[in-house]
Amino acid sequence: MRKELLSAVLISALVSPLAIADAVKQGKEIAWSRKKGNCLTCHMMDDGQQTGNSGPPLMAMKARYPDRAMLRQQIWDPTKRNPLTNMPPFGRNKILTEAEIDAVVDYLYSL
Amino acid sequence: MRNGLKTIALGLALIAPVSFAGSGTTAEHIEAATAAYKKLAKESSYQWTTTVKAIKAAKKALKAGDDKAARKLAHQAMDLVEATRLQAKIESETWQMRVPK
Amino acid sequence: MKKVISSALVGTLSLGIAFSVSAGPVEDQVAFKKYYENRFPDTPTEDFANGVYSILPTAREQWEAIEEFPPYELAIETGEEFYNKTFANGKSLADCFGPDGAVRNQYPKWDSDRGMVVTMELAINECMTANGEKPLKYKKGKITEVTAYMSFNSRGQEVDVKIPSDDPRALAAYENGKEHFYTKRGQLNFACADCHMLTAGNLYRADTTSPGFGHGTHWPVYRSKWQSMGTLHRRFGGCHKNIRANPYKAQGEEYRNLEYFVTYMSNGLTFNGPGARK
Repeated sequence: MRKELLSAVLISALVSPLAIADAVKQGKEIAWSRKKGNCLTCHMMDDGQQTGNSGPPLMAMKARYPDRAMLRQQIWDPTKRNPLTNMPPFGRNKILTEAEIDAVVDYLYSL
Repeated sequence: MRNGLKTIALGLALIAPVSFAGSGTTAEHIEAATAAYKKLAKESSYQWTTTVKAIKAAKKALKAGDDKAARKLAHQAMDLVEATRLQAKIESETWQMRVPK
Repeated sequence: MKKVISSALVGTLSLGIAFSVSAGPVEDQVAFKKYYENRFPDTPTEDFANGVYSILPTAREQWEAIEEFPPYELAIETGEEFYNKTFANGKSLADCFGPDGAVRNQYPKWDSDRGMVVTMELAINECMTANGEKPLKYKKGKITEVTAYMSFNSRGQEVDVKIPSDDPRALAAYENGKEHFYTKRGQLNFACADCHMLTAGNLYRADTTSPGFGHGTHWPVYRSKWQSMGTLHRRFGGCHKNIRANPYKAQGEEYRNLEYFVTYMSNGLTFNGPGARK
């Protein structure tokens, strides 16, 4: 909890404070952007068209990842859990910023 | 303890960039990132397009007189070199797992 | 005594593991081929030379229609002209590669004198420069016309890349190419094996990734996306850009070694270039 508060404080220092709905919207933009998350290349999700199937469909994410930190870690560096995964480590390789990853987590939690 | 951690985290957030940004000209920072990129590519053959892009953008910003943006991009490039180095290290330890037996 | 036995057992076991890890190219190739045969049981082994169309019946029909009026046909013709054109010194490519240039199955090969992998493209340019001509560019253009002609005349030859056992540098070049194939690179962190082995046949957006078994057989290729012909090393570079890795130099050591490994893995298949791909 405290950790979350701290990171929230740090994030809000970097970007303007966001309401959750805005974060979800922003997270969707990042997830869908080909230059950012580009999640649809591999994942069926939301109302996305022409999605790939190299990764599992993204749905019921809150049920699948009750621990938010686990979901975040899975995006930040999925090779930690499975070195053979083909999913990019979005945090470790700095594909997305920490704030962008948080927004994507907000979005995924809404699915 | 918790307070201690917080202090460390805040300290890192505040001091690290300041001290890093404190010495050398921006041109030198760009030069350092370029050298680090080339050295790693030569040693390991690991090389990212995004690092080259950041270096180019830094040079462009510097030429345009935006020292602050140039410096930020130079540091970004250096961060990418470090991430590349970590990738090379991790891969050297795990790639054999992908070979079918 | 018990201790001695168990440590002896452990020793044998670990030896066994060490042995399987350091399996040579022959064992590598058997396991590689088997991986794709198990993964795509409906595909006859020799059909893997047809790339993604060997595993994608829906796209195959369209591809076969394209092959009836192949987009590389003109390249074969202009390639033939260039092949027989006399250099300023009166010689031609035919003096290096014979009357029809059907030498596809001799490349890539290990050159023990120079300690390096020689590809067909490299050999062509070495023939040119040895005769006082300017070398061709390696990714597209004239080089693809010459290789289209030579590959066409070589159709049906068996892929039989050799790694001479009397030169450890040949094995090192192979191992270097192998490591490249299996290591994740670029900011997006993909190994060749990630798309063309682990998830071969899966969709990335609307594109199906091709099986790695068969990657070396059908070059040069007319690629619809390029609207032109290209070499294998041009394609390597495109793949690397996609994963945000800075491409290596066409015909540089990195790609020659990768071609050595990739083509060796296709041993037993048939050369069927030039090809047409999406």
